[in-house]
Amino acid sequence: MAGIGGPSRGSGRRRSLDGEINLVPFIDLLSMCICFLLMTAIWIEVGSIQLHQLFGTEGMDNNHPVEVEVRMNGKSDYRVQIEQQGKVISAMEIRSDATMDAKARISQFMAQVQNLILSSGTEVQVSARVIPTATVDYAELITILDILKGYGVSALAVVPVRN
Amino acid sequence: MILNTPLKPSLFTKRLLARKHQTKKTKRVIVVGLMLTSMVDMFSLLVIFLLQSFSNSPEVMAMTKGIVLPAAVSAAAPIDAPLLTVTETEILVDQKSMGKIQDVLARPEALVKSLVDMKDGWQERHKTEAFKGDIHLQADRGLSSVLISQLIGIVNSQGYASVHLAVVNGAGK
Repeated sequence: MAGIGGPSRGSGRRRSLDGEINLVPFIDLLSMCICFLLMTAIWIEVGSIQLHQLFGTEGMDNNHPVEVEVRMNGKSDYRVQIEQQGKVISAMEIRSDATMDAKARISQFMAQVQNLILSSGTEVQVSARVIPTATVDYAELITILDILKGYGVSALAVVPVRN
Repeated sequence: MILNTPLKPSLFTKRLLARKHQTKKTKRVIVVGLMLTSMVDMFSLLVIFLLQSFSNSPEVMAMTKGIVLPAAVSAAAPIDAPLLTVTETEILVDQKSMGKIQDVLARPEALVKSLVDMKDGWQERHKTEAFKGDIHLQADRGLSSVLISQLIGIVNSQGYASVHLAVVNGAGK
């Protein structure tokens, strides 16, 4: 039987102070705890990308002097334009080719925009709106939103489009 | 050859002992000791580690079977908000079916009513606070982005301005 305890020492008249702890139920309990925790654990970490829809809502604000518009014309075919105070300051057609993927090109473009904003020395809030198209799946839309969020775009929006 | 000399007790004992040693050599009993103290230590550490690592997850979003979420790197932790789920075939609000996707988009009255009810329920529970308009949108990665944008438009029209798109954390394909 499992237990912790040593042989009693000293004279026979003295009562032994070494008690025995029965480890078997303790091990059972711990095993059950481990099994329960492992079975109820959530292994897929789910997060969320927040959209601040700016169209026709009470939360609409115009505190974003720089706006990025990504128009998804098709799979890996985008048009990105930067607007400042409502005026287009830069626009670029982005497509995948043999040298670079369209998403990598968007990342490159956004890095340039970020550097431009940082070089101005003032903290500028950037918002972005993405205009999807029927040929683009939801995963690609999320990838674009993820890239924009990764480059510090504070307010993201998806423009509702009809089929 | 038979010895005439009688067996002395000492010799007899020696022979018995020799036979005993022989049998001991052939049948070796191996007793493996289990270090229970170390095992209990290890189990305790495992339990503490598991409790610690699972206790700091703030909100858990209910996952609907059959949905493959898209992956994103810059995702934030989910919040306590109603859940709009879009599977490949139907639309659900807080695990309650609203009907098939095309039917709901053609006649969104049931979805709108459900969204309004949720909003009213929230405002009744939080009388002193302004409605934040948070809602989670959980959709399959293979769905059309236009369909998702239309649903965003519907929830947006009912005052849900802050739509949280559910994603799997990490750089997936």
